[in-house]
Amino acid sequence: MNNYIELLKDPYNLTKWVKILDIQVTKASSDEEVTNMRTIYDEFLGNFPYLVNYYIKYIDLEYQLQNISKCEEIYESGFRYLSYSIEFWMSYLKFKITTTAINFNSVKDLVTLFETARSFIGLHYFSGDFYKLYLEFLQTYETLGITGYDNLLKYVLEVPLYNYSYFHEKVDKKYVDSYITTQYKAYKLYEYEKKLTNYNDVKFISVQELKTWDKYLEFMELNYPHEFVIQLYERAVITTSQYPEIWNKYVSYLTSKGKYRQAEIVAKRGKQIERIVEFALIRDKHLVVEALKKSRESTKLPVQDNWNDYNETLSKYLHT
Amino acid sequence: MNSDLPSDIFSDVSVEPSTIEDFKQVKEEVIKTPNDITRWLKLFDNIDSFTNTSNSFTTDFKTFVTTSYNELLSRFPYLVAIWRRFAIVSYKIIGERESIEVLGRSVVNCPYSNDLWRDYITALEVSKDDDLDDYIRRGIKMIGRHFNSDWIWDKYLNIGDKWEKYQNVITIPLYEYSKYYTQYSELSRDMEIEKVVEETYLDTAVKKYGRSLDELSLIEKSQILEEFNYSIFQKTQALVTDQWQWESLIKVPYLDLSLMDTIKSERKIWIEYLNWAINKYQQTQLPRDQVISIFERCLIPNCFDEELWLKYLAFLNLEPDFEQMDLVYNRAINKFVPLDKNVLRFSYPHFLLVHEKHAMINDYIFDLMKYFSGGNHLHKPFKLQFLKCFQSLLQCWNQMYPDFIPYVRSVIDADLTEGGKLGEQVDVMYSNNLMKFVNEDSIQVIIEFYLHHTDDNNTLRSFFNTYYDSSVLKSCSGFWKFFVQLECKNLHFPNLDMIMTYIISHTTLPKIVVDSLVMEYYATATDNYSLFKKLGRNLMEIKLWTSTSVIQNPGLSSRYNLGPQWGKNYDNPGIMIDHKPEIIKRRDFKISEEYVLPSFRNVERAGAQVPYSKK
Repeated sequence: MNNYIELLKDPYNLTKWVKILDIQVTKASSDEEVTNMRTIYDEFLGNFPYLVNYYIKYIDLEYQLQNISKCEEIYESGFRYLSYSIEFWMSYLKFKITTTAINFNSVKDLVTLFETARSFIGLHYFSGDFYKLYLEFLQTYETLGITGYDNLLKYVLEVPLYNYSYFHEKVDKKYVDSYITTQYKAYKLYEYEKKLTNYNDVKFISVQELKTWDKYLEFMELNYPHEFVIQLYERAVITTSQYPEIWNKYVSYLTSKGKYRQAEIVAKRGKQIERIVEFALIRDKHLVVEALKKSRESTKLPVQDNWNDYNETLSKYLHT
Repeated sequence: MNSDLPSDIFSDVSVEPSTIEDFKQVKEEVIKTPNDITRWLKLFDNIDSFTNTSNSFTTDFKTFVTTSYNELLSRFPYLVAIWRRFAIVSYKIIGERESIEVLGRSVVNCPYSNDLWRDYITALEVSKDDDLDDYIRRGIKMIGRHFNSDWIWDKYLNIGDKWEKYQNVITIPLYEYSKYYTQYSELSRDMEIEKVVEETYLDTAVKKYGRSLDELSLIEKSQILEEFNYSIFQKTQALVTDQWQWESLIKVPYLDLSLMDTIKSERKIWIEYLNWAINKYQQTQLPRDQVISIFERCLIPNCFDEELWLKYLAFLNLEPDFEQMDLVYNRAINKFVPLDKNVLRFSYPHFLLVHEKHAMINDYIFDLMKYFSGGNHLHKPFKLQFLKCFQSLLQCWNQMYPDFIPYVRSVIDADLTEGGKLGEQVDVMYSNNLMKFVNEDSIQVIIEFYLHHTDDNNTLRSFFNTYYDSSVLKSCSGFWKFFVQLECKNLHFPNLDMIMTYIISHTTLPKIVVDSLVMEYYATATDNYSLFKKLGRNLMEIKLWTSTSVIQNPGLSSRYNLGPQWGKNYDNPGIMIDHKPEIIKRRDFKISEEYVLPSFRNVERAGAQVPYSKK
């Protein structure tokens, strides 16, 4: 109970939330306990919509309760923010594979889902695991008449991935050009990737890391086609969602490409997050304002005095 | 207070000097950092220990000591403790007369120091000076309203006729106020009641008895007297009680450069104290001199505090007296307020203007201009302050000379175009003087002044057309800001857009200025969207001008003059890598269609070395 009171005093404090989120429910739990759990998670994710791990935790709890349709619902709401999150897609795809009854049509549908996933996260530097899963899936259901394994493998060879070499081991030597090119590109990207961390938190991130994102995005803009740039921006805003810099850069990028409509949408998304974050940071802001006021105190003189009205201006100093 | 200072960490003066040459060497070190009081104190310590061991001193040495002290004290005339040391050392090495002379100068330079006056008067007493009484009278004038000036009152009250002096002293809030009241009360009992009690007070008091004054008994008269005295006592007592709140809190009422932190922390006590005094003055419960006395005392430790000087001037300006305020201004400007604090300095010309001292204004500003421009080679130029001089001069001249704005235009034309002639509205001498100081920076101030004092849109626009591509204006924020705001106000979007486009690509304004102008344009455009739409522009294009990305913001790359090569050395700054492995002819991928391999380029270059410059 104390935890709840603490939280009420400070509703945007992640540490206090985490204490409360440590909930276990089983099939034996009462309806009330389950409703409580849902209320807490819904409220929490409304405040922190980019924390993918907590979505997955929530889904896991529902999964234990075997509420498959509720799981779907949570995934759907999560995708509003996390459509470019590898973790979220991987979780979703595995969930779908385990909960779908297998026949030719349903597997076809799953392939479509994989393709949707690929359109979002297929160019992600760490999408190697995704392609592994995808390829395994295609291979497994070849017996059902599902094609595409060879096609996809050839395609993956050209995506600059962290574990690009894994896929090259599966093909013969005629792909050596592709290997070298992808290796070169993957190394280039690694220069940036190695400096980034995958956050699942709302703590401040370092200035260096923000700079790295900035440079990485510029590098992409200069060297890669539009879809690469978009996926990187989407990745960047997940991690840096509380910083306006990357949102602004994203909007400018879309504007500079003449994509005004998309730019507006991104701007709106950024604004929405900004509001949430503003609340979260409001106490810190308070401190900042106090500090500023203090430093101002020593330099209280008005910046520009209008001495044209000498008596009036001078009289301001009488009661300083 | 010197004992608070470490005495052994300044290695450069650690050798005890004993000859005049040694001393001069030490002094050379000291004047390298003339504001470092610890070095000065070390020098004076050395002088002291030398004078303690020796009995006869050369003229050279005497002159050395005197000039050393004078140098520091002309820099910091309010260093009371240094004046006292100076007097002591003068006594030791030269003699009593010299020592008294030093104290005499100390009270001239720091006339509101209770301590210095006490030393001075005491020294005069000891030497049985003939003019002692005169000096005491002078002292009373300066420090008679000091909270702790009872010592001098004691002396003053014994000079000549007592009664009027007592009448005066009992109204002054002194720490020892009750002592004087007691003495005064006794004295008053021997006086005729009409001499003691104010006429109006006496009239009202007598009326209460329903008889005339002569008809009152001795007891009744003495009751009136006592009541009257007591009413004065109560007033003074109330003032003393009030003042004691602050007097008791101030620990450093003198200037000590090693205690500046304490002085700073006591500043707000002084301000509360002063505010109280000003209030009382405005309610006519405290005479003007009493407030001045508190100001002057406050300004001894806080003599470098511009805001307090301004507060003082603001107080004096309640009943302005040119001579008095001019003296305060001169003290603050020439002796105390640091050069990087210039509100007060730039208020002075306007003070002169109010009192119609036009010649003084020109002399003052041109002197200041010369000083800040670095013209006398004594220090580096103060650019911002130099430009403020221009502003100030233009403002004053605008009030001094009729038809001044056409003259300003003529200055701009004379500076920016060949064959432009100066107007004759301002005296030739001053006009020529001004032109000596017009440079790339100051002309911007003049242009801004001109723009802000011209109303007609057509004149302004033709001015813009004449000068917009002048190289001087490429970095002139004020010029561009003015025209952006003008066209925003007029909602003239075609002009606005042209100006902004020019700013974005051709000027060298700081990004922060460009951004704020863009946002001004943006705000105007959103507020008047239907007008803006006629331009055929998208609002987001405008906002893009604020982007920090050279890739995204076309204006930036043109402002920074970045060629198409720029992107090529992004990953290895400074090195061009023309050939990178690339995929060309990449095809769209569909899971259901066969994937045709793309082509590759420059694959053999993947392992090539980065071509670092050989140098």
